[in-house]
Amino acid sequence: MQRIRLIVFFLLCLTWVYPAIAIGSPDKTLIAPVDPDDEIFDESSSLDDEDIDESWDGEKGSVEEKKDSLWDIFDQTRFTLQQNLAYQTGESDGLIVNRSSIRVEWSNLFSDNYYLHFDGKLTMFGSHDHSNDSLEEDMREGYLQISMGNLSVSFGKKIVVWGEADGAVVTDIISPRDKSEFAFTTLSESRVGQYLLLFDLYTDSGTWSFIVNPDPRINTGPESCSEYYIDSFPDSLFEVEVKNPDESDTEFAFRWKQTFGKSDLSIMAGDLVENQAVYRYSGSNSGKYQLSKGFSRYQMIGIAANYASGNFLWKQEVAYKANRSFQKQTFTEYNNLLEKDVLDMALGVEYNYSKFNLYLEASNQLILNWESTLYNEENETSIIFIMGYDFLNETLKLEYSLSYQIQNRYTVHKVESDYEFTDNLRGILSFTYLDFDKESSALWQLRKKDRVDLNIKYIF
Amino acid sequence: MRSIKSYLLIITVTFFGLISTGFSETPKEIMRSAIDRDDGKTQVTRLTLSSCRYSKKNRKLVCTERPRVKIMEGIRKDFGPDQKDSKLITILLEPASERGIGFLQFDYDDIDKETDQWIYLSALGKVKRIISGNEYEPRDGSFFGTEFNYEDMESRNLKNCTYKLLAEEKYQGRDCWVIESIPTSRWSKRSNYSKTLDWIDKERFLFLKTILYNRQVKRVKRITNYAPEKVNGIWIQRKRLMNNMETRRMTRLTIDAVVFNVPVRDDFLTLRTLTDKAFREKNIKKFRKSLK
Repeated sequence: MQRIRLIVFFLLCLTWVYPAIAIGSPDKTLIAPVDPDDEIFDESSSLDDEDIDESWDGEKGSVEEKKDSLWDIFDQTRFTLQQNLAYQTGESDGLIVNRSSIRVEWSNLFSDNYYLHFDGKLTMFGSHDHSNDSLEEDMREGYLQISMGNLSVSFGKKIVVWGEADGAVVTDIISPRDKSEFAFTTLSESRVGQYLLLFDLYTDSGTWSFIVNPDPRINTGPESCSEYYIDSFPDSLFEVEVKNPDESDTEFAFRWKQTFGKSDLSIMAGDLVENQAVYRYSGSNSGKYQLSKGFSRYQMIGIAANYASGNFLWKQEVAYKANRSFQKQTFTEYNNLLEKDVLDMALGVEYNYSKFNLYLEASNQLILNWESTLYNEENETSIIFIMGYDFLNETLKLEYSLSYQIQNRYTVHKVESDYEFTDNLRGILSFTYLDFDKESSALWQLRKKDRVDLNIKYIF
Repeated sequence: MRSIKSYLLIITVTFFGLISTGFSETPKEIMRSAIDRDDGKTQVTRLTLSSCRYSKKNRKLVCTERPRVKIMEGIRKDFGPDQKDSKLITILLEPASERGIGFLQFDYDDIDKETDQWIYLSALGKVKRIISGNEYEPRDGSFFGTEFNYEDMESRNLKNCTYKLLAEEKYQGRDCWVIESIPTSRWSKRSNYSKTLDWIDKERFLFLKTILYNRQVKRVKRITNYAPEKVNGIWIQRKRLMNNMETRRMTRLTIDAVVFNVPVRDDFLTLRTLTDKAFREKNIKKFRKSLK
């Protein structure tokens, strides 16, 4: 039967090609159809739906006539259900993370000019989780944006991302980070929103952004008694008074950004509050050292640029930060903080070819007029290396990343597989290995806390 | 970063591959008419891309797994003295995990000028420039799991190949020219293909079918365009099927809605549209009303 079909098909093909031979303009040696195997259109019948493969399931996307309804404002809502499990494989092995969460991202445009955005997450901590909480609610963002002509104004809780580097914090200093899970949180998930006012002015000479942040937030550290908490000031020896930033610590920042051919350039400046706390010694009382945990101000001016060339994307950031506060090695002496200016730099290169991608970044913090009494080294240099490959039509990604801090000799290795089971269901399995080599480093206590993470997400 | 930059180029296919008018006779002139056709000064499109592994049943391609589906909106505007450069914004609507991702692409007619591309990743809240590729290497990366690669999505440049008329035959019930394109020595360094065959509708100058041969001169891909329709006086084909004969996977691109020559402000095709959501939504809302 198949043979007969083939002969009939061949004869039909011959009849199509014959006119072409007869008119003589094309190649006269061609006597067979150019594409005898076309499985979509069988020319033996007229072109209709039967000739076209419509046996496709999962049909989506057709534009339907739709009446306006109140529920339309929820059209763009995204829900993410997530289960996160982590097993510590170091010296005290066992399940240490067991949490379920639901994240809701909603946005809508009202009256053509008003855009509302909400991003909130509710996390439930299960048994064996190292967190002290049982439930945590977090509004990551919640802001109103108004767009009029060339000007856009946002106010509310918002995450602001600056800079080009993927790892180093050189000019990306507006939004603080949640470090409660140490190195086990992704950069995007670690960013913390702040209540601020943001003006963006779009002109031919570039985009001008101004930020007024009356409520500066700070990096969130691990909770006391949690797995990654480092007790540097035991209660038996220290009394620590915490002074969080308040309204008087309003931050101001500015950025100009413009594109020039294959390059994007940004210039930034700001009068800001440190995201990381410092401890000021204020004497002793009842045999305990008195420390004041605070957040000092500093000023920054910086440049970030990228340049695309072939398969390479170069990224560079330089920032001069004045009046940054640094801790001395000895906490228990007056004037245990020193103000120093800093030169921060990062240089990265991204290589992308087919399914393979590679990223290498080197960054350095140089403390100007450094003194040997400081806890920090004069130069603190970090290297980040990321190598990834996509498999199975980009539904599976394998990635290895390395983060190495040269002076403190600590390395974080991470191997991750990210698989999309369906368009909605995704599973991420990773193993993180901590290699800390310097006993005097603050992170020495966190060695041998390697862990395997499993993260299942259902997004709809 | 996943190679999501490809979205930008995915939508390009609807702007440069599925539209046609014009007339000419020599193979090169036929190709010129097919490539340099009137595709409107602006175009707004909503399209769906579905990809799956297939098997053949009664000469039909049938998905053997649940297709991966992506839905996106694109707004293109031509620029330059001959309107041969273009700027394109693409916004992802589905799947939910990628909703809100946006792309901006500037394409240039000058073959020495590389495409400029940026992506806005909603998860990172950041615009990133994307690498557009090397002049001396083929761009064979898949577009987000579809069977289209970067080269399949690029607008064709007449200068990149030499042309030969192979046959004149009927296809999809239409009188067609079958044109063979062989890359020039310069383009052959960058192209994934050693030869391309195109079936071009004699009357409408639409590409009805394209067969692509790899560097070992083996047939590897077949692109079929169908469901022709005239929208705003411009011929389009609503559907395009990419059959990867090597991997036995296919991707179907469907234009769900399209409109040509609607006014698009120059400042809409800038980085602002990627980050200023109020501005973006306000403009897109207007475009959606005119979609057909």
